[in-house]
Formats: sequence, structure tokens, C-alpha cells
Amino acid sequence: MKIQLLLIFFTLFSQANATVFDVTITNLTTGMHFSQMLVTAHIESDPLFTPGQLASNAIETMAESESFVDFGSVGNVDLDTFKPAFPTSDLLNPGEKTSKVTLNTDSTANANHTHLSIVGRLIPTNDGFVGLNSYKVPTSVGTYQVYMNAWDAGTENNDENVISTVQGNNNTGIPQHTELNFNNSGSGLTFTRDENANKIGVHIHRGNLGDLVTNGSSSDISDLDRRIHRFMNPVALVTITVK
Amino acid sequence: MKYVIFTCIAIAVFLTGCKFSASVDPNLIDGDTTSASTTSSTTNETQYDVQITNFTFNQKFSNASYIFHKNALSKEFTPGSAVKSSIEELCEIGNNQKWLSDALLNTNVYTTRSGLETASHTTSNATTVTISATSDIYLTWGNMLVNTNDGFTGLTHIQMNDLNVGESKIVDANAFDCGTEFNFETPSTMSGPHGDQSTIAKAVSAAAATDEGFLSIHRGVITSSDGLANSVLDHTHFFNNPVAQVKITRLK
Repeated sequence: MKIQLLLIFFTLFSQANATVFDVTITNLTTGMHFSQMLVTAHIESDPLFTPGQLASNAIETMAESESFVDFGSVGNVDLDTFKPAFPTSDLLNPGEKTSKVTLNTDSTANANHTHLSIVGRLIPTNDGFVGLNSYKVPTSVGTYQVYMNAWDAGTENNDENVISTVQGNNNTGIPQHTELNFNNSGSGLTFTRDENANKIGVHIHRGNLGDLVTNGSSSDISDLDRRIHRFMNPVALVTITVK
Repeated sequence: MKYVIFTCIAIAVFLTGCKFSASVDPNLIDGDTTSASTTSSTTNETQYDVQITNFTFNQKFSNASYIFHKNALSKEFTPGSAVKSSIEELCEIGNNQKWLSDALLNTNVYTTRSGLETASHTTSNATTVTISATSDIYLTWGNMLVNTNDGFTGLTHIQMNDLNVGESKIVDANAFDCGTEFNFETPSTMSGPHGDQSTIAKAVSAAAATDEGFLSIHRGVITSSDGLANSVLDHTHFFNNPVAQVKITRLK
């Protein structure tokens, strides 16, 4: 009887505190690549980004330059649960799945880190990123799947013009990627307003335009390939296993 | 002591009851769902209507394929993984016969149905099904987006037994690319210029290096309107997610 009693208490306890969980991410696009990703649990009121509001400097740098360096100094990222998800290479290619990232919010200090966010640069885009925004992690043991959308940081025009290297937040263009070696013969799309100077809120990415020529002619505008680099949401599948 | 034990058990039962009285988290794909049973019924069978709404402008849906099954059935398709050949047949030529007949052989499947085609921006007539169970009932559904090379929409493991009589549930669905044929959009690779089921004569394509090889979210059609040479499609065939909605109503 005592054993039964213990079992009952154990059952109750384990249901209420199952806050160790694994995360894996699958790229569901056919032609887009993801950079390394930040996977983090945080309190509900401290999201990494808020749709409709200006992106933080850290989000802008991540979305434009594939760098997570600015997140290190952001107060809302808890270092106990700050886990970069490293795919097998530094890119998560179409159809690939990351290795497992384990988050633990079981300690007293981070027990209120109930929400999961994920961000990573979407390649090739100017300032696109894959993002899961404040998903409330279930507490019941099991495996859950949620989709992740492509967002536009709103910090740079989508000129689809591949440039040689990463040039910082105030420059335009898509940094060339040595592994992927994008075409760069196009002249780039032109816009009447400059998102660099007049940033807009984070919003759902409208997708790539691309074109079908790579000859540097007057019709060669975008450096992206319309047949390959178009995408629609959702762009990724997140698998969460609560233990 | 006995009193304490009784109280503990009572609390445990109460909490367990609370936990499972609502329907299962729809994002749960693997976990304890056994206690999420339906309300008590005097009979041992249930009856449902299932109906598809096509949200697209000009993408007819092939015959809806319905598999009614237990939760223990393995997923019939998984985003990020290759599809089986019977689903390739559905994705490329709209033929669901092999998929449904294969499914019927599985002991976790109650029954299958092939519904009607669903024209663009319309709702299909309901398919009515009677199932000899009152708990552990799930739906897997899929159909082709006919004006694509291998576009498909569907969902796996939609819980049905949490509905009371008279209740409905509605779930949205995205468009997938089955990854078994590149999206050439050319006459020889398409099921028909406008995907009319009656004109489908095309065979399933042979495996090719250009196949993506996994079930992805569809990147959309490119079409002649966007300059793709020899595409039989135009801008009327564009679509966006969600492309479809499934509505399940419990009748009995």
C-alpha cells in the first residue's frame, strides 16, 4: 500500500514538473537553407521578437549576417537555456534535421522559463529568418510537433542582390555563401523606400521573387532562382519531446 | 492512515480526470492519449461526416482519401521524410486506390473511404462513415492538388473520438510537395493542362536526380505568368497556405 501511495505521489509530481525537453528542427523547404539556430526557453513576457514591432539589434544582425554575437548581451536570453542548435554542418539544408538540443528548465532559477523560441537566418534572403515565437512548452510527457514560419526582420530591402561578403547591418545585399556559391550577375531589385534607414516591424516574409536568367542582361534583376528559391510558410517542423 | 490513503487516491483520480477531460493537445504526436475517451455511449459504434473545403483559386483537389484508424497506426506520411510509393501515385496522378487498399490491411485501421473531388474554392459533399468504436478514433486524409506536378494536401492523426454527438471540429491544412518529381510544370509531366481528372493518362514518374526526395512544404507553382518556359500553368494556379480545411462532425 505504501508503494502505491509513493507511486501516486510520484505520478503527480512528475506530471507537474516535466520541464526537461529535447528539440529538433527539420527544414521543410525545397530550396532554402537555415543558418545555425538559437534555441532558448524564456519567461513569457520576454520574447526574442514581437511581430509588428521593430527587430532588436540582435535579431537584425542574426537575420542579415548569420551572427548571434549580439544575443550574448541581451538580458532576456537566459544563458542556462541558451542552446545553439548545430546541424551536422553549419547549414541546415532542405530536408535535413538538426541533432537533438536538450533544454532543462527544472532548476529554481529558470523554472518560469515556460516558453520556447527559436531563430535562425533564412538563406538566401536579405533579412529573412526562421522563427518560433514564444511557444508554451507542454508539461505533459510526450512528443509534440509545431510548424515554424519564415519572418522578415524589416531591417533591409529585399533587393535579392548577392554581394561578396557580410557588410554589417547598414549595408544592403545578401552576403555570398562560400558553400552555396549563389549567382551574383543580377542588378538587384530597386525600392523607393529604404528599410535600412526606415525600419519596419517584424512581419511574415512575403517570399522571394527570383528570376530565370543569370546572364547579366537588363532582365537579370534578382540573383535568386525563381524555380528553386521560392518558398511558402511554414518552412520548418519543430519536434519537442517533453521528458 | 486509511483515510489519508483514500484522500490521496481521490486527489489523484480527480487530477487525472482534470488532465484528460479536455481533448488531447493537437500538437501531441506521441504520448498518453488513452484516457481521452469520448462521452459514454449506449451503442458501440459512432458515425461521422467528413467534409473538405478547397481554399485555392484554381487548384482542383483529387478524390479525398480518408483512413479511419486507431492512434497506434504509424503516420502514413511525415514532413521531412520520403513518401511511400502508394502516396507518390496519389501525389502525381491523383490515384488513391493503392494507398487506401494497403491501409485496409492494417489492423489499426477501422475503414477507409474515397470521397469526391473538391473543386476550387468550394466545399465537397460530406462523406458519412460509421465506425465500430467509441474511443481511439483518428482520421488521416489526403488528396492531390491537381494542377501541380506532385502537390498534395493532407493531415495525419486528427482525433475524432473527443467529439460529442452534434459537435464539429475544423482543422486547416498546408500544401506539401511530395518530392517525387521536380516541378517542371510542362505538358508531358502534368496530369493535364488543367488537371482534369478525366484526362489523366500520365504514369508515375521514374525516380530522378531532380526529385527532392522528401515531403516538403510546397514552394508554390512558378507558371508561365512568371516566365517559366513551357509551363501549362498561369497565375490563376497560384495558391498559399492554408490550402484546405477538413471539417469533422459527429452524427451518432
